Amino acid sequence: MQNSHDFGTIFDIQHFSVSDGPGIRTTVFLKGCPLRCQWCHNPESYLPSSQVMFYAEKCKVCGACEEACPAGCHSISGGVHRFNRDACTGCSQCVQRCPTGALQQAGRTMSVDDVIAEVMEDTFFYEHSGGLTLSGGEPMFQPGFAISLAKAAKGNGLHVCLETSGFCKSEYLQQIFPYVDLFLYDYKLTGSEKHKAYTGVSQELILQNLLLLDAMGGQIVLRCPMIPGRNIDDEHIGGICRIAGQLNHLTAIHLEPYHNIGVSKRERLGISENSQMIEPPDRQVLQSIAEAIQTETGINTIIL
Amino acid sequence: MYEIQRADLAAYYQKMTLSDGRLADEACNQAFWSMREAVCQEMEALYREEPETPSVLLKSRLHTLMAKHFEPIIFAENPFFFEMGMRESTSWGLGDLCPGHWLREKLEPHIHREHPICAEIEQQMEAFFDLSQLGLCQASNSFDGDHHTLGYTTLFAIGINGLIQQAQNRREAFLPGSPQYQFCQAAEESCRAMIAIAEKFAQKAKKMLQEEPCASRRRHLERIAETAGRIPANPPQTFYEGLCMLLFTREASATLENIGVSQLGHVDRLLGGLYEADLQAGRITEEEARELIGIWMLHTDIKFDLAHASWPETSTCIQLGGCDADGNPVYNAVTRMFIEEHHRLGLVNPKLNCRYCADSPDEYLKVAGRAILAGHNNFVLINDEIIISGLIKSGVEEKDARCYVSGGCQETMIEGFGHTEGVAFYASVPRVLDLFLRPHPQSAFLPALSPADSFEAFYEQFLAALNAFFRVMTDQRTIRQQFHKEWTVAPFFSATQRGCIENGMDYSHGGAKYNFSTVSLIGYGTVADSLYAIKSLVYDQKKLSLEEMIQVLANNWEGCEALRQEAISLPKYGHNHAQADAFADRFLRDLTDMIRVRKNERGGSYIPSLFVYYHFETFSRCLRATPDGRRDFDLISAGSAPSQLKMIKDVTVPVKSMQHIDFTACGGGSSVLDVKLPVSKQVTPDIFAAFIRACAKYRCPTLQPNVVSQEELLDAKLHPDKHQNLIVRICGLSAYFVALTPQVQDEIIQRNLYAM
Repeated sequence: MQNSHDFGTIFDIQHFSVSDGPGIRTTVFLKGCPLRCQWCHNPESYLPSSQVMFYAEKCKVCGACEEACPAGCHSISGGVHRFNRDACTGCSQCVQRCPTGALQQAGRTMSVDDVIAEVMEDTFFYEHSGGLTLSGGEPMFQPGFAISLAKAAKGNGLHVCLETSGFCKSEYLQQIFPYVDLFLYDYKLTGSEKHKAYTGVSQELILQNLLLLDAMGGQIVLRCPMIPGRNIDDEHIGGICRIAGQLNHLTAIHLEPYHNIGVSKRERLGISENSQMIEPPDRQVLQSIAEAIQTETGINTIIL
Repeated sequence: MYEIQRADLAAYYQKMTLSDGRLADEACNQAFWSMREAVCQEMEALYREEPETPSVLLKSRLHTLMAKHFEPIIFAENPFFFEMGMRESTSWGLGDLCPGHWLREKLEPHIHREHPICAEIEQQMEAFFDLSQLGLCQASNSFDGDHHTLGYTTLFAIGINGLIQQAQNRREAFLPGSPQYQFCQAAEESCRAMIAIAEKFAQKAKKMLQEEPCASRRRHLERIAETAGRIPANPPQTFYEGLCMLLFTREASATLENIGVSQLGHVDRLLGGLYEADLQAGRITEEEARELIGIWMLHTDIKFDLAHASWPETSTCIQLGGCDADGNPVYNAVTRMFIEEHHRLGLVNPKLNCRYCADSPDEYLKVAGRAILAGHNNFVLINDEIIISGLIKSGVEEKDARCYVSGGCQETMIEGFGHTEGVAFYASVPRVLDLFLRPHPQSAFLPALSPADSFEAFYEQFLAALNAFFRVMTDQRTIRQQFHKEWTVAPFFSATQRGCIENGMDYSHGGAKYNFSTVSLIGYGTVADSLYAIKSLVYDQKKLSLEEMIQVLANNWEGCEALRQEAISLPKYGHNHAQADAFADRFLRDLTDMIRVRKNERGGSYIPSLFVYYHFETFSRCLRATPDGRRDFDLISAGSAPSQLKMIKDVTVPVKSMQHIDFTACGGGSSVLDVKLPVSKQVTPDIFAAFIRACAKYRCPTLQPNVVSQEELLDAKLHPDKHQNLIVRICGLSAYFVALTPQVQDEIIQRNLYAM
């Protein structure tokens, strides 16, 4: 009998991924996230269930979706397409019928075996260095599925990275620990209030889990999103240095410059919150921050 | 560095550039024409006296006269000797102005008069190429005079003196006056002409030394005076002599024979040992070697003034990496120096054709990777396993196959074993399908479509149509070349090819050990997808009948957008889809099988290949809608790449797809896949090396990588002044982006290059 953990929801599998751990990797993005970071570039990962994305620029207003939708979410009037998402169940029947690709499905259920089969197709790319990275959303939002994936990947001899916000029950991290070679651990903000304000959750559990993994001997890379006007300040840079100083198994610090691809994705998902445009950060500023952190911590710090 | 050498060469070649049928500089023009006149007059006199002289002896006599009349050009700041001043600068061998063209001028009109069938065939070929008529194929004028490489390995082993010895010995075995005897005579005479040419350079250098006060110039002249007496007569003993052998024999033989010697040699295999020996003996430093390599390469780059020339590329290449005849990997200091100096100098020519395999040395891939990732888009990477296994399938012995090189684009040549006629003709395979479904008044040579109640029945009919087309093409070429081979003789080139002296026969008559011709198949992916669409929509799903499909195509999919989208969304070749790839593989076997059994006029067979040049764009201009969902005149697929109808998510997709296709079915012909690598600091030389190694394991064919951001291309189109040095790799050539036509620029910008 199949276990419920043998299936999960993913929203993308990205091949030839070179920024999510060492070497050439395949990154599996698990859907669902308890955080609501203002700058999130993957808003399609928020909800754990499948969603429909609408690319208005591709729509020819042909009406095929209106005919296809069993819940009556799509309507055409006066040459304009309207999408009422309230009743949408994510069944994707409209996506199947849309002739221009204006409607696309974000999220599909896959079995562990199917994901691993697709990941293993890239096996020759991993030979020098590389492997599987679990990302999201928050991969530990589907803990059973994430653990099964990591375990199966290890069973196939792959190097496994887990990219996580760390906001999950500690026991889940303890369970996945034996199957993970490197934790790509987010460190987004310094100060719990600020953390809560910008991500929707407080920082205590996250810090506790980070120290736990370190104490267990887990290899860690800190991943720090760099968001102008939100966290590019002395306080946070100091915070990064302080947390780095507390870790015994930190191998690198990655600064991730903000980019605004998430804004257009929000439109396509009909999400109105956090859709204000933020200007991407100045590379030179980031370069001097990276140098300062590296000097202070002695840890290799790079900009992705 | 090299500014003086650059300026020196540029000044000369600008004068030798053609304008309105004359050389740009009046003094050069007059000197050139009086020299040409002198050679041709003597040839005319000889021909009048002895009109029955066999053509191969006419050619060798022509060589002797060219050696007699030419005036060596020695560049004061250049240690090499190569410029005979006998052809316009924009020619790499082929060209009407060079006196080496005399034999053709003399014999071709005569052949046409005697054999009117040649004119008929030519007329048909024109209609085949004319986009307003059939737009079906382009054939070179019956024989591919380009895409040659000399038997450098033999020249390095025995020098031209060794060839003379071989020809003399072999001549003894033949009856005096027999064609074999005469060929050996001709080979010997042409070889002696080559030595005489070199000696003239030595004399000229000695003469210049008498008046040259400058110490550095004197050093160059002394070197030339010393070396041009030894090289090319004897095997090179030093790295410098090796470079002289390659450049001199290439330039002089291309001039004498009037052929395009596109491939300057497998330089690291040929020169690696000489460099090491020099280094050991303290005869050279790395710095000196690098300087020699830089100056050696400058010449092919500067000759063509690619930033302003009407044609944006040349066919000149060098070969690097791979293995030697015994299968030992080739990677050494010379490999590294050639790549690094090429990159450092920002050259376009010679193009760098790098052989790779799963076991390529890591350092080799990283050295190439460093240049490529920095945006030096001058490379193709050719998979040894596909080419060597393919050649073996075509009957080539393994040790010979291992000596393959590639050029003018990526056409396979078996160095020193014959001419593979890189492009006998380019064929638009989708146009055969188009004309089979919707005949044209001039396509009556294709069998008519009759009702087919299964896909298999339809497919068999289409294969028969393709077969009919290739039969017409190859038969006609054979008929024509039976006559034309009289003027395509090349006794010096032949002498460097195994088999010619042994058989006492010129390569154009089939004397070499191997006598292949190559066909370039255009639009493979588009046809594989179109056939798959017919199978799926017409026969499996029965959405419409074949007649209705033909009607839909006739209407250019107008009013059938939903059906068109359905056709586009069907599984496609190159998308790593098991069934679509399996079908494409079957089609490739069927297609290549019918070509490989065809014989050319030299008794050799045809090698199919999937490489591109410009024709995927040219032929698209007359190709009507196809069943894969493509509209009238939209671009077809290029090389072995998937079509552009459907978005490809990332670079791994076509790479993984390639493992399902057996490209050795091409029998050694090159199949080219464009890959765009992301401009990213995270893509390091290590990642590049791992990527290429993976490509080898997925059995990818030839890779044509490009590293350039979309933003830079767009900006370069708008502001060419700011991007004068942007080099892109396209269609088997490297070119300055800003020198390309707007159409080709758009194509590069728009094509789906599987970015991350």
